[in-house]
Amino acid sequence: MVIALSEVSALFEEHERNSRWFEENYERLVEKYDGMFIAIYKQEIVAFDEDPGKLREKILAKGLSPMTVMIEYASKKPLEFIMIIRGFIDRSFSPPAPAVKAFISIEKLKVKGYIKFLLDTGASATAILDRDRELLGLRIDELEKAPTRIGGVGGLVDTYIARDAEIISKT
Amino acid sequence: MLDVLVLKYDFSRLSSEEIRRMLTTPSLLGRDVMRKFKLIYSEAKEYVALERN
Repeated sequence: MVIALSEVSALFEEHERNSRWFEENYERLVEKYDGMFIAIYKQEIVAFDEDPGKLREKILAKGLSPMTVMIEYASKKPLEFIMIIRGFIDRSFSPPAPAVKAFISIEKLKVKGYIKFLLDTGASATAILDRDRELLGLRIDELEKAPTRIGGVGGLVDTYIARDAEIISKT
Repeated sequence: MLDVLVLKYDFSRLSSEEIRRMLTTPSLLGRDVMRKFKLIYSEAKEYVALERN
């Protein structure tokens, strides 16, 4: 599946709009959809279900791509004892890959954005790759060069460090 | 707070297919974060979660 950078950028902005809308309408949505997974598309609820698998089927039945729909869990009762970060199976990869969406904020670089992370048990450290570096507006000249370069496609890759990042995902 | 790596590929040394692949690859959440959680992944059940007690 080939995704143009412009399309990725548009999706990113749409997810941010949906996320803001969810936050702004949280009280009303929780009252109505308590205990449900809800699908938000263009700042509207397009489907809801207790079962995330069934919700995905409903989204597909409406002719929507799950990639363009934001999924949230509405709950009156906050999870007090177990924190669960909901991920998803990214089927744009073959075979599909586990992923999670999260906000990343690097205060001193004034960088903030909502990006997708692949869950990579083979990676010792969390890494921002080229696409997201561009989308976030991370400037290489503002970063500290890492002591060692790491290997990637086509050989060694220039590696930098962004210190004091916050990664926030919804529970 | 976390120190994250930021990678920059030298696209002049990559083929157009490699560049396309790089630009469609999301960022990576590594073991520095995941080690604090239990990773639950079931493609059959369409379920992915990071859980912490």
